[in-house]
Amino acid sequence: MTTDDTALLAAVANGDHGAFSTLMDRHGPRALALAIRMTGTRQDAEDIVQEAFLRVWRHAGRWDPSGGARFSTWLYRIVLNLCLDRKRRAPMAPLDEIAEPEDPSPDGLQQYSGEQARGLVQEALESLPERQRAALALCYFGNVSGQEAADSLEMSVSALESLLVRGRRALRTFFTKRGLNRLGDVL
Amino acid sequence: MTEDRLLECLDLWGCTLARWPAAERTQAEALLASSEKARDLLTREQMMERLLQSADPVDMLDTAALDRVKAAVFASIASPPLKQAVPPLTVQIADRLRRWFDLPDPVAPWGLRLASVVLVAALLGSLTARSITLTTASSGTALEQIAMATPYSPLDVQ
Repeated sequence: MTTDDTALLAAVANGDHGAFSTLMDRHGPRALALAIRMTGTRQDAEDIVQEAFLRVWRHAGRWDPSGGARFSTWLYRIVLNLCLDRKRRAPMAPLDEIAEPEDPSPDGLQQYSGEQARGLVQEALESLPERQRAALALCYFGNVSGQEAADSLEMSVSALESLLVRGRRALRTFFTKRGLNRLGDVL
Repeated sequence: MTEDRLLECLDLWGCTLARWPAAERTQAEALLASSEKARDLLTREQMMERLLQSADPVDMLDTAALDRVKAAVFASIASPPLKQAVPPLTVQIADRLRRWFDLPDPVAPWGLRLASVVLVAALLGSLTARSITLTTASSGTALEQIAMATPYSPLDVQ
């Protein structure tokens, strides 16, 4: 029988390492996925999820499941806030470290593959405002339900949908400028 | 459904029509059957989704990532988690006031501070005004009191 998150958290609040391990196994992969989609680097993602679970450990006794609150929503909110904090604290890259703009010609995309495609996608995601990126990372990549994503971002579902629409349009514009019509050649 | 509406729906729910609400899905399928422009739109969006999914940064995570995170977390937790602490009395009162005034949490400290300042200022102002009024009504203005308290001297009379 699977123990639910609320029971696990109650055990964690009493210092149960086994329950905490189960909780991390259950939610860690999604938290890591969200963090890496937000930060773009493996090390940052691992650091953020580590800090998020430490906060869960410290504050497990304050978890209040009344009103239908879900642990995953709480965890995603912590992860997102840590991602945004890290982004704000990150120093600006010197100008000579900034890569040259990609070739905007339609044929430019033919050279993308593997790492380059990943770099292009990361560049596209980083070009989005943080909340749009968070909405896409949760809903589009993360397969999180609209209601849960809205709760994690502390907004209404309609506001979330607005973010999703704007985010996806911005991505479309980004890729179109780099020759989206030829993407079929390289995928 | 128009092509513009199709694009809006694609923005909202992505290219997997099975995940769309039933009504929109039926209309979209009808449009796609009849409109080449609509099919082109869908094809372009599918290309974008394939690119995004093929380069999902999640692929950078190896299977040991969670193990590393867990090891680091367990290495850091030497003490048991915090119990539900009873907040200090001042915080309890502030929290109760916040709920009375239905203030959102992040605003509450500032709202309460502002309300406290306004309340104290109003109280002091009221007391001061009442004091002056009482003094004036019973025994004249402050200047009159000072004048009356000052004894006349023969020199003044002259």
